Amino acid sequence: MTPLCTHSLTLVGAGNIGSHLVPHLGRLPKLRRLTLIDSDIYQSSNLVGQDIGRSDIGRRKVSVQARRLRRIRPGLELEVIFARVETVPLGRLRSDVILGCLDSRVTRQWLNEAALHLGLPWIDAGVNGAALQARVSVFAKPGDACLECGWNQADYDALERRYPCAGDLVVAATHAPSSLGAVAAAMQATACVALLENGGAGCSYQVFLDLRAHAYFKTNLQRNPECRLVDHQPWRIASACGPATELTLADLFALGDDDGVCVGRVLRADRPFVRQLRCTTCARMRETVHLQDTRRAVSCRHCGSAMVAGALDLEAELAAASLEPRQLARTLRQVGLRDGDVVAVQVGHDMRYLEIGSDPRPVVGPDHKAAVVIDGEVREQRLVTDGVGSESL
Amino acid sequence: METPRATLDPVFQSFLERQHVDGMALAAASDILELQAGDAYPSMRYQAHFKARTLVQRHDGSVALAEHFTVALCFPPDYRRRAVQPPEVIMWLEPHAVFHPNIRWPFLCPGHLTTQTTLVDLLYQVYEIGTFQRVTMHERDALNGNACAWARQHTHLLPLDRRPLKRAVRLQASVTEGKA
Repeated sequence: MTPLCTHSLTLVGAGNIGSHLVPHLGRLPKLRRLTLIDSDIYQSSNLVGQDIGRSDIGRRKVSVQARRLRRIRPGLELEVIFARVETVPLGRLRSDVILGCLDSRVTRQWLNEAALHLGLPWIDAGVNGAALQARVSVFAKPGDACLECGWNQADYDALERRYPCAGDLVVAATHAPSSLGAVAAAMQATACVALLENGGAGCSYQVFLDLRAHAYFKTNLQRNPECRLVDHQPWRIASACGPATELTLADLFALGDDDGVCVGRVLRADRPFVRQLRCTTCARMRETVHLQDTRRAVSCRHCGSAMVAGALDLEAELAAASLEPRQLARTLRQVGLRDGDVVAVQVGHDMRYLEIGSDPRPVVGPDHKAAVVIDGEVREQRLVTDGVGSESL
Repeated sequence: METPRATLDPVFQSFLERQHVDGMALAAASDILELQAGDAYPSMRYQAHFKARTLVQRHDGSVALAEHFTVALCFPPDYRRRAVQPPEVIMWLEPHAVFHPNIRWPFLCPGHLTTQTTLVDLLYQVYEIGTFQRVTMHERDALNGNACAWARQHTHLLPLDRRPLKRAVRLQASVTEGKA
């Protein structure tokens, strides 16, 4: 690592494309820091299409790729996040470019909006295994075209959903051959280098490669005035100047206001707030305030059955006026917010965006320690350096 | 409490207005459905009461008929943009002891949900599911496996209510004398 190593990247997805992209990224001479995000584990079926070996089966994808990067670039700063990207605090995605190697339309939509809000360029790659086609879309800068600018109603209708009877969301595997993933990864890496060298000066474009027809198409992407993401401007994010474990809801509402008045203010996060839980057996209800999907299972105090939140129990926004003093006194962590989360506080007609935490990124130093985030908790682990030390990822 | 109006974008506002008009029109044309909108207009929340039969399971495990059921239907602000999950849209309210393969209180697994699914679509789906006109017969797709097994053994009793949700239009036949 030299002083010229200034670039940082975020890679989301370590599958068919991502597993091939990792070694290209590791060899970028100016790369200083890389964040890897994937919630999956390598299966034996992945051997066909993903750049892994038999010993990688059963292991976390991000851990496997982190070890590869260590072999290529021992001094690279690494942050390894074993989680769905939609659950990662927005602030943790910050880098010079975000690279998406995803197999889900829903996740692409989320990542597109995240990049827009952060004001970051991002590059989305995709493959069609059956047709032997690869695509790379470069969204070069805020205000330019975004992913949804090119969407029509059919794209929105095709968004994957989790039905209560179907359990976890199951996204159809691409079954793309390894070679196709490698081609898409090479295109993505090349586009990334160009983007970094241009400093985001270029326009947004899409490259489409049909390997069967040996055809190559480039399209300049245009901003769609009818895009459902109405505002293509990045958020002006200020620091909340305090960790989630110390700041309270009252503190958040009162930020930027000398007299601490928070009545009339409204708080929004990246998911709904749960205001009530109901017992599935005796139907008793309990008031609460926390973000959806951030609390472990709650049991009814009367009969012990599970308590759940239905549609009526969710609120897209949290109004300060709707909270009791004891609820306002809850810390942000107790409500389900974490360091790195970005929230919006509406004050009259103004919207203020605040990133929780005093330090926007976890410390990842040159001593080869990487912060590994599992289930939202940061755990530091030692990594292999120059073949010395225990492998614990 | 409904989401403050200030957060609604024009496209969603227009969508909600259409849902209100269409939903109330259906209720007016139905002998089965009573529809109540939330406080603000256009509402993002509705309570639908169906005067139709469904099943409940008593404490002793026996299965009995219930003569009505009630659901809540909600449209979150990003309904038209995101893959909003069914539990955020549909909530079964009464009867609490509902016995149905597609329902585990308060969750109901609807047939199909897209960003275009309207209030009327949802009302029809809920009615057809509640009255067993539409029911899953396979445990792998069911929220209540016991109800699933019961339904397979009692197909001769299903559906519980065959009436159409919307009242049939009665045509007045006029006899015209003379040449045909």
